[in-house]
Amino acid sequence: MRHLRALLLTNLKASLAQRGAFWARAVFMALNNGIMLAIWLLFFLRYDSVRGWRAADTLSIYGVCATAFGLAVVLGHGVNDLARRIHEGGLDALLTQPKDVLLQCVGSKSEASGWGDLFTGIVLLGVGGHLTPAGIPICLVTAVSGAVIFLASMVLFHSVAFWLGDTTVVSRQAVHFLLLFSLYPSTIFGGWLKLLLFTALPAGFIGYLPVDLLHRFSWGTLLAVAGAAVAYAGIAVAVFRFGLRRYQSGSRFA
Amino acid sequence: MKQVAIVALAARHALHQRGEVLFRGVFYIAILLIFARLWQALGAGGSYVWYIALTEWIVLSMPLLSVDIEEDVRRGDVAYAIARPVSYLHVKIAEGLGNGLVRLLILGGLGGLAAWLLTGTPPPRGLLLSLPLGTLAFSILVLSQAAIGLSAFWIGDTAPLFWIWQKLLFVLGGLMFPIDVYPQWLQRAAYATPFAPLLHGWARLMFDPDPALAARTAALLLFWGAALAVFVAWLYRRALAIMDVNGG
Repeated sequence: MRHLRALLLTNLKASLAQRGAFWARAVFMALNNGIMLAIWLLFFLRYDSVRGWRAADTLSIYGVCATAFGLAVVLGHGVNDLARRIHEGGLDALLTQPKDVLLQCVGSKSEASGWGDLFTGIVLLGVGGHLTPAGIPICLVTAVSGAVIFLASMVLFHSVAFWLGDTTVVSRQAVHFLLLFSLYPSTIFGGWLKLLLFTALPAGFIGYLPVDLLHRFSWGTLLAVAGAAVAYAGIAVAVFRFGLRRYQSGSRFA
Repeated sequence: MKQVAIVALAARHALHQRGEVLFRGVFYIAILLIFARLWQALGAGGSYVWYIALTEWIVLSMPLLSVDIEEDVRRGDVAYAIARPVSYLHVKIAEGLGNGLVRLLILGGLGGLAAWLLTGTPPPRGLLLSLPLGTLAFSILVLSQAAIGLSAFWIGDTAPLFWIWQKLLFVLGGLMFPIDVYPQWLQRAAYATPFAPLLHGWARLMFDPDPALAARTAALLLFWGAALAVFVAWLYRRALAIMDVNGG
């Protein structure tokens, strides 16, 4: 745990070292999110609801997803290069160290724009009236579980590189898919698409169920969200370790 | 002309990057699927799906020229490239156009088929009027990307500028929803910007194939395209001046 904390602090310091770039990325990402949200709010000015999904739900889903995604990329943006490192043999340096390879790789980079996402998320949760004494613990659970599921999904998408070679573009695209589906009204999805959003692309556990939890608290939903985070993290670690057996050195130290 | 040869070369190169085009295509279809569901839920007609199929067509075909130029500036490669007998800026724009044209062809076919299947209605009559103007708008988007990329000479990291430009294009251009859906004040504001003709202007011709409207849209696109070309050329000259002073 001490090692993880030191790793994260080092990356945060590295990210803050270029102050201008750090602030530009964080502030512009918050603006970027604000503009995307504005498009939806304009839409809801014209249409009252989409099968019961209203502007307030969109505010909440943007708040939940931005917080979770922000947390994920601030703490674990190293996962974004995982497929390339697997393909190019870039895990060599990590394999020689006594700490967990996956943890080191994921925590090796922090993305400054994630602070903009975090800021947007917290503001939107506040505007949505969720930052109350009773709501804050739920927001924390949804943010942490969402971040874990985001990171676990990214690890899974990138681990495909163990079997298929350089999948960097594909893996990053899959992450965009996950983000894309997490932000739309859940009421428009049904049947096989809904099944997909609670399995291969777990947008349902990142956005839809947490919003449900914020609006109508139930222990069952809370357990489902937290359980999904644990399950996806477990699957990601298992798949990565299984893939690591096939890993071939990049001969970096030869 | 050298630039035409570069466009052809970049197009051939793009044809070999099947994986990338394929994933852009899958992403495109996913977006169409989501919006088809959304408009279905609202009981709206398939025309909205055809609209987003058109606007997303050029947005998803757009090459990330700004990232390429930023990389060249960061690595110092631009210092070697300007010594060549063809302008670095022209090479980059020609590469962007060559790459993009292949994507336009592939994604166009894919998106058209997907929109047809999702809506159950064939492409509206005005499509033939929309497509050439859409291609012109696409060239202007490539120029915009070049301008953002050149800004790397001053600001280093162009990603924040790109995000804001892209989102303004999405809102004021009417990427996801036609501008007519917006409140009156925002419609007026959007039409006063170059973003509206870049997406909504030509895409709406599909449903309103009025030759006068098409001529007005073409004139607006040519005006903004010319203004942007002058701006990009000026920016490039300024960038070269900076390089002369500071080195590559």
